[in-house]
Amino acid sequence: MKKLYSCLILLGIATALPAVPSHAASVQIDKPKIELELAPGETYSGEVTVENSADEELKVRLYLEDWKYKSSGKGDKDFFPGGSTEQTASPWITFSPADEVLKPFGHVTARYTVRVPESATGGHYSVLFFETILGSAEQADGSNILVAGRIGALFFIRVKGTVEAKGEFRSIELVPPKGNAPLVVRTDFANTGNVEITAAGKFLAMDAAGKIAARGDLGSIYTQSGQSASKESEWIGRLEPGTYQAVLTYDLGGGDIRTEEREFTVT
Amino acid sequence: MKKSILRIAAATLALAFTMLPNSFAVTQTTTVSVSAQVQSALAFDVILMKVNPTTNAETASASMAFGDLKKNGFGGLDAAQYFKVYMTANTQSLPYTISQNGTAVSNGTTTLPNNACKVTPSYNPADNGNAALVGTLGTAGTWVGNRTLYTSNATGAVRTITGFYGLIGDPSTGAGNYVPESQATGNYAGTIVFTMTA
Repeated sequence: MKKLYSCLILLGIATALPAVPSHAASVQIDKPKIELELAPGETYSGEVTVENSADEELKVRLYLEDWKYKSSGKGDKDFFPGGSTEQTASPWITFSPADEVLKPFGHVTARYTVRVPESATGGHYSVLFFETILGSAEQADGSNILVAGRIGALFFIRVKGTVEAKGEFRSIELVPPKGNAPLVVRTDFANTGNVEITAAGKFLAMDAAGKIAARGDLGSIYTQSGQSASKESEWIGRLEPGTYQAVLTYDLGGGDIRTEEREFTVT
Repeated sequence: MKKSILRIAAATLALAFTMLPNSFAVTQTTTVSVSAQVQSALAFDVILMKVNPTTNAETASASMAFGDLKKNGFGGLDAAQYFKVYMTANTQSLPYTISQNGTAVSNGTTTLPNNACKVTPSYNPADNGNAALVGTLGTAGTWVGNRTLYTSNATGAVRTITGFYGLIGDPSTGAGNYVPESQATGNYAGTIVFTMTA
C-alpha cells in the first residue's frame, strides 16, 4: 500500500511538472554514500556511475570538496574547498575523468582511488561532486545569474584500528504533553570521539500498569568528531492523566545502544 | 437426437473445464524464481523557469537574466522579472538535503547588496500529486552564500520544492534591502549552485 502510494505521488509529480525543458539538469548517480574502512597505507579503488536522465546532452564537471555536518544535527551539510578542513579526505582521493559530456540518457563511469596516509586516524570525509551548468549565460544586459545543479557522492572513510566512536548525552529533557501541546523530548548530544556518529533515538512510555501507552521515533542526530548538536522531537497523541515511565533508547551504531529512563506525569 | 444431446453436453463440459479457475484444476505447483534488485541511486532534477510577473506564465530559461533594474518609487531599483527553480530529489529512502550557494552579484568592481538578492523556498502540493509537505523548508533570505532550502523527512520521501528568486527588496518583512538608485551602472553577474546530497 505504501509502495502504491509512493508510486502515485511520483506519478503525480511527473504529471504536474512541466516536461523537462531544454534548460534543466537531470542527473543520477549510483553511489550516494561511499563508506570505507581502510588501514593506514591502504589503497582502494572504486567507481561511481553518473547518468543523464534527460533527452539533451549535458556537460558534467567532477571535483572534490570537504564537507561537515551543520550544527543543527539534522544531517544537513556545509561544503568547503577540498583539503581545507581538519578531517578532510580529499587529498587522499584521485579520480578520472574531470569533465565529461553525457549523451541524452547516457552514462559515464568515474573511477576513483583512495590512498590512506600511514599517519591517518579516525574518520575523514570528502564529497565527489558531479556538476552541470544549466544552459549557458545569456548575453543579456543588466543582472544575469548562471545556474548550476550538483549531486554528490559522500565519502566516509574510517581508518582501521584507530577509530574511537564515543559520545555523550549532555542532557535529555522530557516535557509531558499538556492540553494540545505534544510530548517533547529535547536531546543534547556531544561527539567526543574521532569519527562521525548518527544517534538514532526511539522512545516508549508505559503507564502505571506497565502497559505501553505511547511509542515514537525521536529521529537521528548527526555529528562528527568534536561537534555537539541538539534535537527536539515531538510525539503527537493523547495520554490519559497519570504517571508514566518513559524509556528512551539511542542507537549510536556499532552495537553501542544507550538507554535512559524518565518519569513524567500527565495532568 | 440422443447423439446431438451428448455432443452438446460434451462440448459444454469441455468449455466449462477450460473456463474453470485454477483452483478447480488438478493441482500443480510450479516454482518460479523471482529476482529483482533496486539499485541504490541518487537523482536530482533542477529546472529553471522564468515567470511572467503579470500572467504568472512560466517559460524555460538558461539563466536568471533579470535585465535592467527599474526605479521602484521607494528610492531603490527592482527587477520586475523573477525566476522559479523546481528541484526534485529521489534518494530511494535515504534522508537528504537540498541547499544552494550563491556568489555575490558583481560587475567586477562593485556588488549588489546581498539582501536585495532574495530567495524564498516554497512547497506546492500541486507539484507533488497533492501530497503534503513532509520535510522542512528552509527560510527565505539572501541567495548570496550557503542556504539550506529543504531537509527531507527521515525516510527521504520524494518531493519537488521550488525556490523563487528575485532582485527585489521586501519592506513588509523589514529584511530586504533595495538596490540603491546610486548603484554603479554596468552588467552584473553571479552564480548559484544547487546541491543535493543524501
